[in-house]
Amino acid sequence: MPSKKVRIHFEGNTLECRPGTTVAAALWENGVRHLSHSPKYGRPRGLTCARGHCTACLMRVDQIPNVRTCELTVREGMEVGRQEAGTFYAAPMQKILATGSAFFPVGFYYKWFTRPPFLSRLFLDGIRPMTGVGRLPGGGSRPLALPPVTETPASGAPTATDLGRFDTVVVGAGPSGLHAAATATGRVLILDDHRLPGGQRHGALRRLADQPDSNLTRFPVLKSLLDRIEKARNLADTRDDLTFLERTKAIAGYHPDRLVLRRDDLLQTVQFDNLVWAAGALDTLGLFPGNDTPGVIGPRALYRLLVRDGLGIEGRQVLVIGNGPDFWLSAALLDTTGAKFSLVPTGDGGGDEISAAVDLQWPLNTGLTLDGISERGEGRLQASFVAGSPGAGEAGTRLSMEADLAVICGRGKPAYDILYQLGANLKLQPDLGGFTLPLSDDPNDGEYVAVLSGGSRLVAIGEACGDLPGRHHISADGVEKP
Amino acid sequence: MIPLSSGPIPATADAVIIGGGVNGLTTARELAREGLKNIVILEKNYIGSGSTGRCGGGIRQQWTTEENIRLAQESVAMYENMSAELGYQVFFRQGGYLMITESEDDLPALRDAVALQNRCDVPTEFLQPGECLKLVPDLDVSHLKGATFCPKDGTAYPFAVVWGYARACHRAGVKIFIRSQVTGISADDGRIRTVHTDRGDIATERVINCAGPWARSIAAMVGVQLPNKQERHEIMVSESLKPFLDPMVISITNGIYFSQSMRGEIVGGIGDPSEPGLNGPSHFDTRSQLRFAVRFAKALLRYYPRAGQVRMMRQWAGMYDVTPDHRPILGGVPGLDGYYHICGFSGHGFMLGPVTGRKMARYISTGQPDDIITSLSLDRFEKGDLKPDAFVVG
Amino acid sequence: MSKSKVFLCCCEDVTLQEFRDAFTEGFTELESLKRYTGVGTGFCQGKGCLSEAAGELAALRDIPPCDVRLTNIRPPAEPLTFAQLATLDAPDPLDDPGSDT
Repeated sequence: MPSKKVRIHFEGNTLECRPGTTVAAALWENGVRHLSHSPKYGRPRGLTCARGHCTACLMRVDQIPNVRTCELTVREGMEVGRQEAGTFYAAPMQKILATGSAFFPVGFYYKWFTRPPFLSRLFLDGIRPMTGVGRLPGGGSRPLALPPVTETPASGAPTATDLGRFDTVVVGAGPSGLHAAATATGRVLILDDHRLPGGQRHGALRRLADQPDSNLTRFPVLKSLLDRIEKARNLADTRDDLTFLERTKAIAGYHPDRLVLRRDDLLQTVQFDNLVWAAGALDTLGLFPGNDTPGVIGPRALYRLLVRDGLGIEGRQVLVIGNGPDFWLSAALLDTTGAKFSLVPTGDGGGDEISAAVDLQWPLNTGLTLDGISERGEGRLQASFVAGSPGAGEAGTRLSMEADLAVICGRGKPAYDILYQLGANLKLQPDLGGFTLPLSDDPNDGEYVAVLSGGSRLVAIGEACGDLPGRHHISADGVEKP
Repeated sequence: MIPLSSGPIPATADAVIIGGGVNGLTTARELAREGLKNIVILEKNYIGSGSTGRCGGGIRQQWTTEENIRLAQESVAMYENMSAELGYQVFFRQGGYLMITESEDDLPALRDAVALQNRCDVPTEFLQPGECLKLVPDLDVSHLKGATFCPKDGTAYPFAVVWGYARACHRAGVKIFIRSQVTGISADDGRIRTVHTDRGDIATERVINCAGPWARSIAAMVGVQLPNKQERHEIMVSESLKPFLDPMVISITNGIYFSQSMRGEIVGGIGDPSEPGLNGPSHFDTRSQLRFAVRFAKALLRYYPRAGQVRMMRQWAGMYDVTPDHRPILGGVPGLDGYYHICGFSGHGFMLGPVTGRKMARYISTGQPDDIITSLSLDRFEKGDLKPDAFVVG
Repeated sequence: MSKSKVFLCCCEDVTLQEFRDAFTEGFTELESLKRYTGVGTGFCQGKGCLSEAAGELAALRDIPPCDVRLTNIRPPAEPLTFAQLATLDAPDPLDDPGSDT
């Protein structure tokens, strides 16, 4: 159903955008794939996390610097621009640094141009205009107007600045969080950055399930993910005393028991006696040559772009590389969009899913290892692979594939910032994806628990403590341990 | 290279310096220049991990007693040449300090201070509120009654100073041991004998207490009672933006300070009157509070509304090692040969560390204290011989 | 064909090689590596890179990953404008004597 397009201005051009989409998505659809340039090497950056966690989409919007365009809904007349390097010699300097990086060792700016004193001052004066990312616009003591982040008013959610104290606050309304909220005692607040409870994969799974002749049943791993979410939602629905905050993120933790929440531009604070951290995981793209290339994204970015932002991807080429349930969910989701996709499953397992993919005649390339990604022109990726297992190196056959997007799927990284800020003692556990709470010492506990100063209890569950989706569920208050 | 010693702790040393922050590192380097060999620095965490690495990096000469002004002036001169001398960039930028006040009552003391500073050849000017706009175009001067500005004040990057001095120490043969904690100090016959650490003992005749907030507990190991109290101060940094603010701005009225670093970030803090301070218990805590973020934001917008759209990136806290007159404690103590302390900088360790390190190194190697060391010795508290500064800010 | 760089920290343009070089220079703690190379100090405040940097440091020091001390992750977890912060009420000071950290 056609609806009136929104027009935004980008560097002298007027672009037409679907209403309700984000600036970053709209630019991508209009062929603008480079949203910013990195500070030292001037490398182009573009769609990466798509969820407001990284730096790649920072642009100047209506004069305001460093706006995350992946979280900003388009508005008629908006002026969007890339942030410049700062001075006429900045871009050439970045090029020299990038191509000659072997001659500019790490920290070279600490050791060069230090003497005599006048040269040192000259050096500092010279680099100062190059530092910094955005530019604060000049003019008067009037505060600048904040652009509204979205136009949609929140429905019924409390707007008081201080939400007071709850017995239990659950961050994240995915299956683990919903379970915890349903079974927690006392006054419970649960929040999630989506509009509806269900978590990171819910929108994508529902999209799949709602297709006529859905592929969901061909992928039992995906069906069981959706079943688990729906079961948890139903369980949470049986409580009529839960406060659910939609489109709300926890953005800071202050010891011993305070969170700062954000919904659009509204900040709220809340205190808790118990905190259940079920905030899921962040995409991890991995360390490989060209890992910063615009258009290299993770599955959570894909779900956000396709389901919430409605990214127009029909006819585009997408590579899906990796393994795990997100690999198959990404593939199945892409299959509903009219995108052309190629799958490169890596690692062990997934035999049943591969068979299903073969039955569906999805393009599959097994036995490959990703060697690197580079850009061919603006926004076109080239991924290089080596046949054989990791380490085959130069000996294996090389293969390359081109795409508009590459989705790297694997284990997510537990979001740990706020846990640390609240005083939790985190450990790096690579097999769980990153930093997370260590398993409690109490053998009867079986939980990832911390007791904070002041006595508050903090529990991490689900992917926030390194669980793989749908495989093994550790829950607060001993609910459902398959 | 900043190779940190990873071998065993040596069994003997000519001097053991406790603390790997600005005081320990500058003193060690200066001692080495004075000709002392076999110097060991013991740092319980990593170099710069204490107050030095947490501070805002401000360096000013705008003080209200001649002694304080002269000391700071010497320090600024050292900072002006530091990068060249160390062969390491410390990012010292002299954007000046603009000290503002909302109270008429402060103006006489400010004018006196400017006059005194000028007599010491410090180029400070007294400004009317409107004149501040030349320096900070978007400052909201509607609340102000007056200000002072010294163009030679500035900021440097604390970690660059730490690394630069560490390299110079290494080149001079000083051994720096990190992750090494002092567990005790033995003395007998009025002499220092041994420093005990969690990695072994070091026999030495000289121990120099540069432990910042931990100086009091180190001093207690040899029975020296310091009147220092520890205060928690919070500080924050903003997103990185192209340069738009040249000076450091400090308000005498509410204690806020903010400046823009060489990385383009606004660095700033504000004191909290609810902190225990000198009259309360020591508050040993480096955790952050929302209270600070909100108070800082409100105070910043009062003077600089343009910052409304600037984003705070992160906040943290550090400890001030505070003395009753907010001035450092230098020198030694009678009856205990070989023990020295360089502590109590009350929030000004970074700006004064290099100069006090140089003076103390000279004293330690020659035995001749200069006037400032005598003036700032521990016994001044007993004698009641205190000359505090008129304004305690930053 | 020259290989593209492998980026450890995309916000501050720190490559994996630079991180390793800094380690060789003597920066053996995550806190000092962070400050020297810039890893984790950009707009994302380490979300994209700190776990990876810690894992790399564990490999360089040949110690188990759980022995790498995490750097101080300071609030907030997302940049907030001063105008937004000013809408909140400053909570009362804590009655907590704190600890030596």
